[in-house]
Amino acid sequence: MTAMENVLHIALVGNPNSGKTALFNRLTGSRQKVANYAGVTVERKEGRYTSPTGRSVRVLDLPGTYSLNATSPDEAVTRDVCMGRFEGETRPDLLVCVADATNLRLHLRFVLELQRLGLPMVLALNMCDAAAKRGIRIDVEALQAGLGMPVIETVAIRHRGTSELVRRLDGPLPPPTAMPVAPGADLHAEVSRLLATAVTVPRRTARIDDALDRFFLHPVFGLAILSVLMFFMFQAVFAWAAPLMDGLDAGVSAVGAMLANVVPPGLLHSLLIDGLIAGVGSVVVFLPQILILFLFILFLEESGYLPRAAFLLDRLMVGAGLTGRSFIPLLSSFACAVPGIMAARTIQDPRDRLATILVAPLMTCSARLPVYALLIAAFIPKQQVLGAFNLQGLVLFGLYFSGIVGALVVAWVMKKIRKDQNEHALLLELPSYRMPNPIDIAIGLWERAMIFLRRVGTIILSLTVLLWLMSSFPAPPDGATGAPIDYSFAGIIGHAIQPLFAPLGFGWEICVALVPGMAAREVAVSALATVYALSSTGDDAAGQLLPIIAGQWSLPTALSLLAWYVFAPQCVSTLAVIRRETESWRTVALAAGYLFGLAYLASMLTYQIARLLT
Amino acid sequence: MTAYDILEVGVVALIVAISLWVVLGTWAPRLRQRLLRRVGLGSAADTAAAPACDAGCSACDGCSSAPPRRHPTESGAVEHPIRFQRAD
Repeated sequence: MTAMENVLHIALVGNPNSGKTALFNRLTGSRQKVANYAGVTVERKEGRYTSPTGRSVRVLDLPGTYSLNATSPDEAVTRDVCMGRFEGETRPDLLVCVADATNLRLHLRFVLELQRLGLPMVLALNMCDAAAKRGIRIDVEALQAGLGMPVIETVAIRHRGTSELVRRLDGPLPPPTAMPVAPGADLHAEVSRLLATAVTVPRRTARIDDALDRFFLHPVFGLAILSVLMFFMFQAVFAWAAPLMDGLDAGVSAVGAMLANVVPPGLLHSLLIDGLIAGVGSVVVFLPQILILFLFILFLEESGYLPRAAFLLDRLMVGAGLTGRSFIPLLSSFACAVPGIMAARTIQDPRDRLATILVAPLMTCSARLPVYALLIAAFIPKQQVLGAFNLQGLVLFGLYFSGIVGALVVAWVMKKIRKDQNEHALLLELPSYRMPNPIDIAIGLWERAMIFLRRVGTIILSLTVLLWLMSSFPAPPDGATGAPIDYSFAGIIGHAIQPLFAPLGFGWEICVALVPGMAAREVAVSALATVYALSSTGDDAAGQLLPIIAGQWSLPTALSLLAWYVFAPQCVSTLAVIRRETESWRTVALAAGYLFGLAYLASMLTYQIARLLT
Repeated sequence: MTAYDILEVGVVALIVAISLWVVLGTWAPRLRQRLLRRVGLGSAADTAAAPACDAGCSACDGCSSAPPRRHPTESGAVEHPIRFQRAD
């Protein structure tokens, strides 16, 4: 117990993917991300709850690790907290060891190692339902006696056993094990002894896992299945979202028309119609596409398929100078580069970690989807290819694929430049397959929708308002002949930087949109909508960005802008997190420099070649 | 200037000020904190949010803690070989 206050300080520890975060969520009511693969939690997270007797309990969720001999930055956090060496963190009063009941041979080894720390401990035997299904029988009493600590059976994702765990934690602290395994003794041998007395395992792996892995991990079929899955995902993003997007678009237009009738012409009218409705409305309509993309990602995360994909792509990744362990951080970057770069903490080798961090911004984050979707909808005809495939979906797949190829090429170049050419073998734990729970998927989608809408309602809306201000002031001088926006701050800035982007085919309006687009990608769409709304006469421009750019831009310009967005640095947050993770401004400068250079080159080549061909 | 004109300018100014506040809070939290202190609101003890975190995915929840200062292999951690135990 901490001396200063009557707060019980407990830490959840265990091997990766044992269900610590699911248990943390159950205990504290949090909604931290959980998924069926190792390495989801890369830093400590804190939550609190009040026990039935009114005692305050502080719970730490720690990154999973196989041993206290940490080999990666995330494992070092767990080691340091458990040993009381983490700066600003007191040593826990009690360790709750979370172990996967289907894989006790591996998980008990770490439990025995933790016992040597001399802290009170409780073992949460998680995923007992899965163990029972596989015919694994665990004699809890015998295990308890063997380990010398209380053992509680839990199924964290189904709420089972958590009440009993809370009751046990509410009682007096169990004494530390009197006879921990001696230093130098073979922990594996001790685990074998424990298993022999308390656990009956009819089969080491689940039959269904073995059967599925024969296909999913097959060197040929496995890659084919992965390609089909990715291809199908991008087809669905366009094909399924269309009716929902049309509905949202109609809603935005209706609100705009209503406001235009209510608010008399003037400053406020312009802010509401040209700024908020045109700008923010043009981003909101992409919500269905983002949700469909996340539906697939959540399904794959829950099912346990993702580590298999990492295993399949290991050879390709190593050839390009990365490692199979880079796969999960890179995949996380499809949602957002910020957690993707942080997930690189699970990579043990500093060189591989740096390479992964540097190429993670090339993965297409969800914030770029509105930009891609807008340009594809404006310039790529809505038609079927080979009778079955949606052409717009094919182009979207191509854009995501270009980002992946770009990342592999950049990693390969880095591999060629560096002196250390060693390759590291991939050692990866493959979890059991699990049927995703529809309720969990629905909650995940709801959270993504809230994140997107909160972003639209705060930062995107705020930047749009400021851009509207810069596009509206100062007012044109007396006798001015051009559009008022030409004389505004935004117009002046846009015209000033346009010559730099002229070889890329960008007009001054695009140049204006690129600047706030660095803050958050989607703002580029709202910025274009605001600029074009202010450049036109009448309210009809609000909410009609798509036909405007389709009519005013050439195809080479649109393709050039797409190429720009494939390679350009994602946003300042990405650069900020690179600085934080690497503690180096040089790395930030390197990342920003090469990404800008690559984007400029790709965009210019795309524009010039497309101009010659069209 | 009519009363509506004054009201209109006031509403627009308020919306712009709130927007500026949000943007500053996201990308320049320390500057916003200094501004707060200058007008007598907030104290030096108030901690500013990590810069630009909210502009990312808004869900990484990674803004609160810094990463480990050094890689563990640099801090003298002993690397042990992986040992496999034959199944019974």
